[in-house]
Amino acid sequence: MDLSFLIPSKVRRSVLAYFVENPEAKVYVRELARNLSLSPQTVHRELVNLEGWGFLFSSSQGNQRVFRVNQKFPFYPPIRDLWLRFKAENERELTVNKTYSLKTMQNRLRKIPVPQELIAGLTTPRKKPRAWAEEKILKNFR
Amino acid sequence: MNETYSKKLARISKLPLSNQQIVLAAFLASLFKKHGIILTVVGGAAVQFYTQADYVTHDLDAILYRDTKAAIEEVMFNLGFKRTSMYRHFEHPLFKFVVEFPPSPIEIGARVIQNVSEIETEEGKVRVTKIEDVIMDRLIAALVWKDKASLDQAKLIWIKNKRYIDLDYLKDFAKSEGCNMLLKKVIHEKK
Repeated sequence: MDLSFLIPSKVRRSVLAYFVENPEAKVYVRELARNLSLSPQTVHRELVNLEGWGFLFSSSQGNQRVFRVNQKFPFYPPIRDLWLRFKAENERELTVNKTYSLKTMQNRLRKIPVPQELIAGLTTPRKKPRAWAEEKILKNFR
Repeated sequence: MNETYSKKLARISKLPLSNQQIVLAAFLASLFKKHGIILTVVGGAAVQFYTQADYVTHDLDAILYRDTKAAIEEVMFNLGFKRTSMYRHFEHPLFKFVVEFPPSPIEIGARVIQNVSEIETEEGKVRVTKIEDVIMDRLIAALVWKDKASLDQAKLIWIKNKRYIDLDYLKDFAKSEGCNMLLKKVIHEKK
């Protein structure tokens, strides 16, 4: 899962994530671009956008600009919480506690017949509703 | 499209329904793994596998963990899948089902699932929700939606897999979801 349903731009997701995870960071455009494996131009455009919204501050250091997060930005706390929640969810480790061989399983399961009284239930459409568009797609495959 | 991939897909599409989805899922899992993404088969596709296609579904539900948007597009488009009218669904002319990527985590009733099983196939290993959790998924659907078809699927999974089922886990889960009576109906089946 990712936040793409809320923030479609991968660049924006990456930049937001960087500043939420590194609230004290002060970064140059090229440094951040390298860090995120994105082009400096793309990152620069996003940094300027986010500064325009008030999410970031920038200052001059020599002939370069340094960006940092504005922790007083009104939506900084909810954005941070949302991001951290998603991150924790995505880093959830699943444990594998049984491994089956497809061939063995197949040979074993095939030998067990389906009781007559269950056959009808296996082809009856389910009652649990689906999203309207999903139902429409699946109709084409039935 | 890469020729090796297209040959693989053609071969998988000719497999019997009982393992077509699971082998495709294993192949997809191996490709997503290169992006650091773990794929787990859930829902009807898991039922199809545990019943060896006595129950057949038209969607292969695969849950992915990590930031997946770019990886989904890269993997699926490289294989010749096309996005359907829905963002998370992909179709391919060789397969009579859609591949869907529902959002993580894997949730069954009020539980977030942490433990899964793994199937070894000729295309590598793939994670699948445990038999007990698939039964609970169907029992909860039977309870909430009064869906007899879901109850019948739960019964069939039980009949086919009972020697591998952790009954204590299943009873505890059913109790916490208020499905005890339905579970009794399932496990008292003689056949």
